[in-house]
Amino acid sequence: MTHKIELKNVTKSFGSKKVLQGVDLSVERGSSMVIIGGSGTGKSVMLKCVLGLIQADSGSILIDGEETIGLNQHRRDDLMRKFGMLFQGGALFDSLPVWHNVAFGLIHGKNLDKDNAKKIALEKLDAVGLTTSVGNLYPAELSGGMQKRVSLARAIATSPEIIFFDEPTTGLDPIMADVINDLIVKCVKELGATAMTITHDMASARKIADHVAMIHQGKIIWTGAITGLDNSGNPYVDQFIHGRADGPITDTLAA
Amino acid sequence: MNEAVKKFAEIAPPLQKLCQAIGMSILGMFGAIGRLSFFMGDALRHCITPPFFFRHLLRQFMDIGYYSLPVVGMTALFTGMVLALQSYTGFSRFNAESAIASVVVLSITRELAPVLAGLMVAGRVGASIAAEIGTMRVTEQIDALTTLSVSPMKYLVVPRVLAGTIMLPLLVLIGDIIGVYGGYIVSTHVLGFSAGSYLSQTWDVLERMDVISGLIKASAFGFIVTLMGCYHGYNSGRGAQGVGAATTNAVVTASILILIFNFILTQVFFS
Repeated sequence: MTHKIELKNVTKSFGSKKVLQGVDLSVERGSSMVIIGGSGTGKSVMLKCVLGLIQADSGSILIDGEETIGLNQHRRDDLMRKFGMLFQGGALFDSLPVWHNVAFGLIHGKNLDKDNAKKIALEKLDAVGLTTSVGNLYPAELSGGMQKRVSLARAIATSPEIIFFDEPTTGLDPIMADVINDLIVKCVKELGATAMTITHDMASARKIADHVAMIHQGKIIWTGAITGLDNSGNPYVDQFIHGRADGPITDTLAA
Repeated sequence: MNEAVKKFAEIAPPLQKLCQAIGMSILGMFGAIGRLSFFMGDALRHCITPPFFFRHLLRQFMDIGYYSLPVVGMTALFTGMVLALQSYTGFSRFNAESAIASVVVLSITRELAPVLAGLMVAGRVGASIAAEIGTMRVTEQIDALTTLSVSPMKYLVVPRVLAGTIMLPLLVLIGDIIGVYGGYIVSTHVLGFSAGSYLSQTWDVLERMDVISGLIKASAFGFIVTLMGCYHGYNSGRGAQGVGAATTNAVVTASILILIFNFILTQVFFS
């Protein structure tokens, strides 16, 4: 299998703070990679580097074998059409009704006319378990779980080849979290997309992942199949998945 | 000799600290000017390259132009009225009451309508732009736009900057009329002037350039206000505090730049 996404020695600093210190990671086409790691270890920054929202300092990020660091705006816009992204806070446009949020990428990115885009948007909303009447509400009128569903519908609306999920279950109750996990698995399978998820919710990771990578202090310290997670033999991974306060990972937040 | 070296060694560290502080703030200022220039260049480039979001432009025309009308109108009305009252107290001492009409119309069209309208719009529109775009930045909506293949510059910044640049002259033109009318009301009803002579004095002294220079100023101020709102919102810091600071900075920098550019443009037009 070829690699859909490949990161080689990617670094990123903000001022004197080194967030990514040489990340190496590859994600196979059509597989689901889950990246686990504590808060402030650089998970989100890594995802945003791949998306080009943050410019990496050095290293190389390949999508379909093509270098994406230093692309010009035009090529970057084209590349973006391959991506869908579910943001941690939903990031729904609060000035637009729900259906328009979902249809946004279709109307502006793929130049569909409004009626067709709305039809597809309502189908996608249906796929995440929301009725047509929800489509006419505004994001502020929805509960947290419904907002997550709408963002998921928006992320998959353009049938992207690659979908990123930024902490999809954070802030949801365990049942709703599981519902979202099921929806993610279903949507990714249906689209045949390559998925990359960052989370620190282990239940979610076990459900979504084919492969798992653990990031610690700006480096990937372990990767492997989800089945190998419990026998990784890596003390950092063991500490993290069991949520123990004692272990090799100590108060990294203070640094 | 040794004494001098010792003394220098004593004062050197604080002196160095002082120089560093001065250097840092100067570098910071140039950095800010540079970033702003790049942002402005980027915004202008996106103004002339497709795709265009016409519906957004129309909505901004309403938000920035139409809904600012009451604020600008009230400001102009009362400024014109006060101007007539105050100049009467001054001019009546040396029997120059007939100059009131010309003072009112020239001050309003050349200076007060554009500057006061600019400052009022900075408070009303600049603040709301910074808060709105800042909140979009904080809640990752701007990142979301990018991932949906829509340029945030085109979608958010360009319509606002264009609307400000186009609508403020229109607002000021209406403000000119209302302001002169305010002076007229006070002069005829309070100060006892005859309506005909006041209006003819107003008309005689007014030249086309007075109005046009005011409108060009207004256009520049509209550009400044909306650009500052967008720039500070776009680069807003995290959280509620970041958005609050962005809003403050947008209004303060816009107001100061309006006053500075008012001086520069006045120099250009009338010297």
